[in-house]
Amino acid sequence: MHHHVIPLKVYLTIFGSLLFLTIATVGVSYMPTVPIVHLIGALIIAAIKTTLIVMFFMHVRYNSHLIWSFASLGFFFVLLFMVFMMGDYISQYYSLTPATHAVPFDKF
Amino acid sequence: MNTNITSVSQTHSGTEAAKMPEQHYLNAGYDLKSWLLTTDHKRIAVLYFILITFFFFVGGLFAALIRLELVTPKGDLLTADVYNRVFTAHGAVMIFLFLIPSIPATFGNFLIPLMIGARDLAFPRLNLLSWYVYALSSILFVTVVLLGGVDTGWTFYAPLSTSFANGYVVLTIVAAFFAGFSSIFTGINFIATIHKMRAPGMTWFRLPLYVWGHYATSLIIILGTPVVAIALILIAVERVFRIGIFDPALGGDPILFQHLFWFYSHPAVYIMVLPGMGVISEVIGCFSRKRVFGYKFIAFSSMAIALVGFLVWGHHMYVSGQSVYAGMVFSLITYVVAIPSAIKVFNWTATMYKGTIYLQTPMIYALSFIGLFIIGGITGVVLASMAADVHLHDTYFVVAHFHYVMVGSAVTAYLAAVHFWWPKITGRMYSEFFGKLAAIITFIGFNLTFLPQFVVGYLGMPRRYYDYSFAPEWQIWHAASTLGSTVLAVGFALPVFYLTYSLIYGEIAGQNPWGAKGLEWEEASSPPAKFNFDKMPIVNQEAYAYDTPARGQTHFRGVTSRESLSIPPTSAETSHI
Amino acid sequence: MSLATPTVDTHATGHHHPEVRHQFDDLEQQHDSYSLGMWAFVVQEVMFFSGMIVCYFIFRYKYPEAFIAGSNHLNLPLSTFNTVVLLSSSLTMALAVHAAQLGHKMRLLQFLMATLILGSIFLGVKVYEYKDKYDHNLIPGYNFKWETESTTTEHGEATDEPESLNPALKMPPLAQQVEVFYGLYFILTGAHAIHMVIGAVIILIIMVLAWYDHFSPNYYVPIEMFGLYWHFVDIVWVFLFPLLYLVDRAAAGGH
Ligand code: HEM
Ligand SMILES: [Cu+2]
Repeated sequence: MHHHVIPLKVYLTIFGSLLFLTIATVGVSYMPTVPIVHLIGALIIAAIKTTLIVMFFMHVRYNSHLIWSFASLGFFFVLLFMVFMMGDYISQYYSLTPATHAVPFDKF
Repeated sequence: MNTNITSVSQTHSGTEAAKMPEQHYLNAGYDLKSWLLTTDHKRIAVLYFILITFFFFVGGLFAALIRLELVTPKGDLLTADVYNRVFTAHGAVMIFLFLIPSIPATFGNFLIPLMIGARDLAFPRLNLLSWYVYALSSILFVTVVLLGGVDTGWTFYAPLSTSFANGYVVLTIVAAFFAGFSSIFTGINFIATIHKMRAPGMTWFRLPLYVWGHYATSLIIILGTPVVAIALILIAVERVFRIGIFDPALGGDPILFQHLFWFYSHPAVYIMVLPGMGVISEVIGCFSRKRVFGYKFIAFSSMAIALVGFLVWGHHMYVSGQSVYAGMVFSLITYVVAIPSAIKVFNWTATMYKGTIYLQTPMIYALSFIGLFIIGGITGVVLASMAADVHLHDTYFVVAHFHYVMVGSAVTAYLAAVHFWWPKITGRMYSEFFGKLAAIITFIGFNLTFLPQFVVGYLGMPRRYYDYSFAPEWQIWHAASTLGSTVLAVGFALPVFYLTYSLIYGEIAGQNPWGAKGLEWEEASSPPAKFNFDKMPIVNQEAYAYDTPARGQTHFRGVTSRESLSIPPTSAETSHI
Repeated sequence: MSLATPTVDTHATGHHHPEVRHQFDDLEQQHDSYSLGMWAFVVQEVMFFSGMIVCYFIFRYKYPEAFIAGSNHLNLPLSTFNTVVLLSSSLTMALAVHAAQLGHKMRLLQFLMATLILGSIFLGVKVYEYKDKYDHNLIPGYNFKWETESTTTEHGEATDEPESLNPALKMPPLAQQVEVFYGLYFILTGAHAIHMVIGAVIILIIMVLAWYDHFSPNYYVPIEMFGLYWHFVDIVWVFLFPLLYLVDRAAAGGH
């Protein structure tokens, strides 16, 4: 068995970055700006944190292409799911027969 | 092309009478424990087969009640409430307990390790667990039915299911949840197995198309099933705790449920049909004695269906209040998803072209699959058009459409599989005469049942109505449908008798009665040994190489290939790599 | 289709490593299979949570004011603390796998213990938060009461009957919208907490196995696979934290 043993320093660096990003995400939500920026900022930071965890804590960086693709598979489908769902709800407002309490996009 | 033919230890060939192998998975232990605690994928497949067959007939019983009620325009046999409970039970049992596990859990389980040259699935204990979870789910379903059932329909639409239905909704949801878990376990198992356990030389493009179908199905299972699981949990949460998610009276959003539900349940229709398509590829190849035409196209079309099939769920929601723009996109993608399905149909017909066609029982089922799937698929495209669907939605046209794909195609493929691999699983042959008879009766009965439903649906008959006295002129169509369903019932019941009979009195099949290609036929005895192969196989040929003689061939009822007549199957017994 | 040659003996156990199960040829294949199977399971988990997250986004889109109001009512310092706790438990878990790879039994046990303790702290804080919601009548569908005054002050736009931007339909009252937010809060954190509890039980089992020398540098797959699970649960929280606790803190002027 030949397994990549990741140096401790890497783990600690990643942990440090995660802590930093946690503070950053709190900071972003206090920034005086429009709501959508808060949301996007929070999601970007969460995505970075996720990438760090997946790559290093979950060893994907040192793994085969197969594991790479499976690690991305779920997130890719969540993205598709979100895009289609939000697409429906956002366009409901502009639809001729709105059925829910739709709001225009910029209110998000 | 390939004259290096090594023999397998217990090959019977030519005119020699076939014998049962001395040791096989069926006689590896007779006590209950050796079955209920087995981790052998073949035994687990048999366990699944028994339960699934049982629930197929349970579901059929409910269908019979529905058809009987509809013979007359008035709601006279059942009350409205009981009718609701009956069609819900029919749908839920058929979908969750029969169709979704049908081919994967039985034939997938049995055949995938054999086809790829492995001793077992990657996670045998998980496999057994999945059977137990399925059994638990089925017990819960039965409990619900015995307690009086549910009346939400198999779709559990909210807020009906959360705020108005008065049956055992939560218990049904728990049951469906477990059924989902059992199929997730199976899916994970297949993915790991197909990726990691292939025999040396079994490259991806040498895999039987059946395995490709299961691979695509497994991906759909792990991507889709959890979403319906959470949707159902949310229904239970709203129903029990009155937390508003779907019910507008509580601030919820009913369309949201439909999104979550169909995000799984459209792909789920491919969970039902993709393995069936895999079966058809095997059967058509074998009984046309030809390489399956356009192998890569069929393989990739399965993957395309798995991917694109996730992006069309909105075609169930055109009139739900979903945005028309979303509807347009879903409609367009729905048209697109019909393409890979069509590719498969074209390739199967092209495979038969100039082939040496043997009309054995499995082949008859396969042929009816192709015909019925075309009708089912094309009516699906009709429904995919938004304008047409405003009229057709929730009518018997939809009912007919999905029965053409789910019964006409998926169940027919399942029966093709039963008849094709029966000799492999049991080591015995069934009566070819009764086999053909049942296949033909099924085909006729099926069309008699469901063709009239297209008509009556187009005329406006809504689904899930128990009384149509507002339009008594439709009775003729309903009566025809009920008549057809009686014929269909005969077609489905017949195999129970002659297959059971064959277990004891059937002729010994021998290793490869169809002269088929594939590791499960050429390298494993019938029934296979406990660990599948005596010697682990090495593969150096494409799948479906019917231009070279099949090994281990046992002549049976005229099924021989021209080639194998000219080249005696075991003449060149050289150990050769 | 194939030419069989006697290469691998079916019943061979002789050259098999004792830790290799019968269906596999060698440790490598076994490890890769487990790893892929676990990742497939993680994919399944991702989709499971995605169903709830999608609900969250839809309602956040529909009820923006209610989400700001509800979110700002949650305990930010405590949840930030909890986030750090959970990230630390992910670190200790990674270090536990590291120790297992190197075959340090005591270190392995210590890190597993640390992970378990940190996970328990997280759950303890969660219980406290839930209790707090109960005391403040914020349990949706049970004792939910929402005083509108506390949130309308800053902007004055969140009134009890917000006007629907779509005149064809009436919006539900703000209190009910906030109730939906709290419903999602409990569902999401509840589902996450259940995963944590399951994780904690598995850690205990692994610790017992490790104590009895079940693992070696050759065979630590279960620990590694469990690590994937634990990190995944951590990732869920990485998303839940900003989505639930950090909705436009600026807009509401802080806690
Ligand atoms: C060839 C591609 C297919 C297309 C374009 C298609 C299209 C559609 C459309 C548009 C509907 C919605 C009709 C409505 O409710 O108004 C529908 C319903 C349905 N289809 Fe298909 N379909 C296809 C294949 C399949 C397959 C292969 C299956 C199953 C194996 C299937 C099973 C169903 C079911 C179960 C429903 C109705 C579910 C319900 O409302 O209870 N379809 N189909
Ligand atoms: Cu569909």
